[in-house]
Amino acid sequence: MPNSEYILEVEHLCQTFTSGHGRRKLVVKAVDDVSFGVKPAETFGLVGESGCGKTTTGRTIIRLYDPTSGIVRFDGREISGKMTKDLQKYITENIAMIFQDPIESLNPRMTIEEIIGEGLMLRGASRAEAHDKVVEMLRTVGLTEEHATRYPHEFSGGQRQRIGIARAMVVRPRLIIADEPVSALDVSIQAQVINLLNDLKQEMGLTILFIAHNLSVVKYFSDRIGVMYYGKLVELAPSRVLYERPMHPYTKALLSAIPQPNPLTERVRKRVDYVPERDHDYSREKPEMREVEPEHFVYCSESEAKSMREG
Amino acid sequence: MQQNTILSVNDLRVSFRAYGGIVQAVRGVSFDLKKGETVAIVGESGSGKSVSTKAIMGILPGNAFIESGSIDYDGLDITKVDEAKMHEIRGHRIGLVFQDPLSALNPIMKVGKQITEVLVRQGMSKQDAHQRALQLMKDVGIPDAERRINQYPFQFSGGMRQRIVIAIALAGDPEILICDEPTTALDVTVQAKILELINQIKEERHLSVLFITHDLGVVAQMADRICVMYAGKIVESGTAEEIFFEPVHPYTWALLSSMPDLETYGRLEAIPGTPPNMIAPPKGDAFAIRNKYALKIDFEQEPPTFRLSDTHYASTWLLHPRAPRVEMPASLRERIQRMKEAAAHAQQ
Repeated sequence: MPNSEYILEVEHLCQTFTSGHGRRKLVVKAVDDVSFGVKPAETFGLVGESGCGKTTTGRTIIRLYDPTSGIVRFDGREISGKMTKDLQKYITENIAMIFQDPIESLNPRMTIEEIIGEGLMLRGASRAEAHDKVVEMLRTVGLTEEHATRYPHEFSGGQRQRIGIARAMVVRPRLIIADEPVSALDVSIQAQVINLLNDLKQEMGLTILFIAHNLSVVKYFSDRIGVMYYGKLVELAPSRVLYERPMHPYTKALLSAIPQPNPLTERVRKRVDYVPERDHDYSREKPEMREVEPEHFVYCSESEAKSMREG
Repeated sequence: MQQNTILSVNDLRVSFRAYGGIVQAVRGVSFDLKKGETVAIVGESGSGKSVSTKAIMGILPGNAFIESGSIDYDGLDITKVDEAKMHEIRGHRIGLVFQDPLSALNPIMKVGKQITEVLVRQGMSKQDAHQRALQLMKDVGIPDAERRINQYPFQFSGGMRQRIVIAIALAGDPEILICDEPTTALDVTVQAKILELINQIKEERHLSVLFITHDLGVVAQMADRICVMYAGKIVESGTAEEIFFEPVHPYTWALLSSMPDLETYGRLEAIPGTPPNMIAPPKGDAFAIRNKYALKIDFEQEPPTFRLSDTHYASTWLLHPRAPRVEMPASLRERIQRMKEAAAHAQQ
């Protein structure tokens, strides 16, 4: 059911990849029955380790992949169905993506103006209009007009990521999918890019789906966080709650593994392991997303939920 | 050299011949590694931290040359010994764990052979070397070692591959282990296990570890002493407590406050600009242009190294007796306060 509270709704999304044929056929469930909603002007964080399906989720939403099953709605309209010209236009006008690798994601043979202005030109903007908007956008992300005629290789990693952000923002999308936007950058540059994203978010009232593996950055940046493990969403909660009261054993394991920049606590830190076979008994009860406390959802069985509620 | 110092780097300068000129990657680095301790070198990419370790291992690329300085190990200056002598040291006395376990391993050689290679070269029989390799694989926590020893690197996961690389580094029974960003390519939970493993083998074998990283969380977990590098120089060095709780160099302040911790809510203190071009390093303090506390003299003259305690040194004009008194940023002071409270809480 469309829920007017959310601008982006993901319902029972599945994405499988197959390889080989016949006996060698292998089906990988990259995203397995994932459901969540993103409210307008909210930042929703997706965290998990590599291979957990967080990037695939983002790419499926923007239709870089065709979803295997499930429904994705943006502002009430289904965007996971058959791809038509009209739907494509709807998606590209409303959703944009920032990629992880600022080197791979920029065409080395295009100038910065061509890269950033491409989306505008495709939408019928004249060269002059596009130029003005590109220059304005370059200033917004902290670059200058002179940069417009240069090629990507002339820029540092942080500047390239700014170009990637400018390209996503110039078409004034309502939702940005940011896939690990800072993890390829140096520490001192990461903070600059995080601050830039934060400013843009506040100025433009953007909704952001923030995908990352660095839990401190996700916590800092997101209002609500979903934790993914092997294609499943295992826990979903407001970011503060997630870090203060993690419920799912995987979330606990993940949080206990982050090294904190504090030598005194690091020396006594206890790490917990997550072993699904030991931590769960799903032989009798089937697990599903259950609301353990208001706004806090955990993928668990009824008896587990009961013990979590009792704390 | 002090009694228990086993490796001592003195005023090391390494440059590269590059297309645009001479890149001065390391510009006068000095530090000591004592028996059984972990020294971490922290810095951004291009700060010269990896080049310093490559100079110690004698594996600098062809276009690099050591301009001056010495690396004293076991009564020898490593920068001056010939390749034959270096062969005896590299791998046998000093082991190296690389950043990317996939490119550090030979993809078409079984992992067992890659571990035994160094042992057989040392003159061990193949059977003995095989037994030793099995033991090493068990030591680094690879389950089912008898079967895995005959597999190829692609059959291992990232974390297991890094364990193989560590096993290879340990095969020669070194007394120094150099870890160059050993967990950067790994997931947090895998990273935690590898770091625990490195700490454990360090205890068991009384190793000295030189740990290179850019992740301050990892540094806090591993290091006894920390050297902060910027633009080819060590700008501040001290014990882990001194660097994390009493930092004095503006670059260390910036580095500590530029990443959010789990309690950060306000705007991040980003360092403006980018690291300098090392073909023409700026005159004076290389960090001056990005430093909001920079003094006039910072643009003219390189700061000397000031001694704050027996272990704590920093190179910044702010420590000069005639410099204006500058306090660390309030947000950082609050964060350090939180860290101390968290530590007090954790110890209860």
